[in-house]
Amino acid sequence: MTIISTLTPLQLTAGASLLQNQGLIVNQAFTNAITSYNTSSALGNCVTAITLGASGVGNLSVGTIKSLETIGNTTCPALGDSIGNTYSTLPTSAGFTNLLSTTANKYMGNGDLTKFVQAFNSAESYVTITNQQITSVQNANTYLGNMFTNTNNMVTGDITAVNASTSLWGQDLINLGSLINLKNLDEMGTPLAVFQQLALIGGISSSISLIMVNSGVNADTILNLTSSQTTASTVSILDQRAMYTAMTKITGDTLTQVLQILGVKTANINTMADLINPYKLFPNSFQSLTVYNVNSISQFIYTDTAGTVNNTLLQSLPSWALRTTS
Amino acid sequence: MTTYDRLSQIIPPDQALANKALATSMKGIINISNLTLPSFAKAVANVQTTYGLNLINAQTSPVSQATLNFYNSLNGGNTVNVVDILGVSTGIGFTTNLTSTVSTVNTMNITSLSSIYSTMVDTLNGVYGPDTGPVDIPTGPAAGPYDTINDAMVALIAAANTEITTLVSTYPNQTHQLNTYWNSMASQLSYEFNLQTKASINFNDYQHSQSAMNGFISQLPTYGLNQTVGGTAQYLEAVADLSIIGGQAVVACLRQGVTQSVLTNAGIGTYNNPPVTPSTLPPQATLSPDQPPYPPTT
Repeated sequence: MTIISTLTPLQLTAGASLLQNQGLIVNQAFTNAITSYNTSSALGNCVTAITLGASGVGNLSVGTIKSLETIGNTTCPALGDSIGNTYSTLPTSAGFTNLLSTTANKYMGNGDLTKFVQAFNSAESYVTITNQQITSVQNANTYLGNMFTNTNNMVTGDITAVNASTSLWGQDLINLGSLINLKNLDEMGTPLAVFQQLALIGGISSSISLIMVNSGVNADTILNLTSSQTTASTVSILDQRAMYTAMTKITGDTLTQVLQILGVKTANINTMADLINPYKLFPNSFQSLTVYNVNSISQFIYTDTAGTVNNTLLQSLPSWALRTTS
Repeated sequence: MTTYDRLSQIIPPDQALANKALATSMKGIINISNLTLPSFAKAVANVQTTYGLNLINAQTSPVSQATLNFYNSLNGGNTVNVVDILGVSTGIGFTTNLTSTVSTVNTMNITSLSSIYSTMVDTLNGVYGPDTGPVDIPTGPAAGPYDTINDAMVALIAAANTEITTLVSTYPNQTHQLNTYWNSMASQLSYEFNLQTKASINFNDYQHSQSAMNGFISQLPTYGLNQTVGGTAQYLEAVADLSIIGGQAVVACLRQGVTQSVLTNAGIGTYNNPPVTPSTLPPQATLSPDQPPYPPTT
């Protein structure tokens, strides 16, 4: 097996120079600009005088050297190659251009480019994390639009918006096996959805079909339960009501069979109709089931331990959930 | 969708309402329609909430104003780039100011100031007398005898400052421009030093490190991908020594990073990576046997 190098010929070429401290230098135009200032007829001697004085020529006192290096620093530092007096945090230097030059060379490692790359890597890392912090925080309070409710919901992907007792609700959900088709939440609570899920997973047994027919369910509806053409809009309310009646009659062994097919292990399911009653489906967590109303206020779905449904939801749920428009 | 008004005609109204409320609530869970009930149930059962963290639960926005203020104070709310931290070497923000300084000075008559600086150089070089004096400056605003070069320089420095004050008065526009150029560079340099402290960059700490360079070389194409102003591509291009092939290869690597990305996205291959399998395999070590003897010993 041929193993491919992660280094390309161009990287190898660059590396051959870089590992010999060549290939990266202080920008040439910048160097030229400093030279132009330092050798100008107007100010070149200023730079020379500072360099001489700072290097010990003339045996100047410390105070005089400092005065030499700060010529014009309160009026026009460019005419004295000095650092403006307001930039007190900058290090003292034998001239501002000298500071620029020595700093630039220090950045490039003063002949050891491996020192430059260490600084470069640190700078790059700092830039990455700092920019992430700054841009994230700028977007943090806008990226959710007006969807933010609380931190708990944000962190849990709105699971806690449904039930803050996630452990108990989760256990109740686990006990439901495959009862609910999460792709079909719009039809949650309809008998059709439960029978379709049953038909999809294990099929409708003859005993169940018989109960359905005897309850008034159209035979075609039963035969076509798994058809994509069979939806809540194609099955009449009358038929679904008959389905519900059938569900109330499915008990005993037939119910046990249904529960086994769907994988439901929830206790106290007495008839198949209990499979569309959230109070029965979530025995350990129904009291903490919640929904955000149209005013973005969380409301409990049940108001007491007996499973009384919160009737104020009739006014506060979104209208698209309450009323058919067509 | 079966709305409440229809569902309540099919099943008991209170159950219909509970189902519609529950479905409405569950539909708010991100990507729930892509999950099966068992996998969703398992996730719900294992989720950890912020229960008991009263300060976190009291937040009315993803981050508090205090948090916003803190990060915005870090760098004035501005993003940074490599040039902000190590910019001098690139000349970005400096070269133009320096050349503008020279050209602006050239529009002014600073003969007197230049003469003082010339006298300073001569004085320091002992033209008018030795370090220990006496020193006698023959002409100019600081002309006269001095005990030492130091004394003469003190007078010359004072003369230079006086002359600069005069020039500021005579050339208010030019000197204002010069201060703008100079302050811009000083500000940027201060900013760099400040950011270096924050980025824990201390050149005195660095030792020679070939492994650091090896890592840098391997990252060169990646650096080419950041083409923002002041970003890694602009930075490295500015300091690449284009007079030698190694410097040109650095720039070529930066471009290679972009090209590789473009080609990869298009599904086009390259011949960019030589094999690392040696032409002559190195001798293999004799290791302990991993198979039983055959025929088996009894």
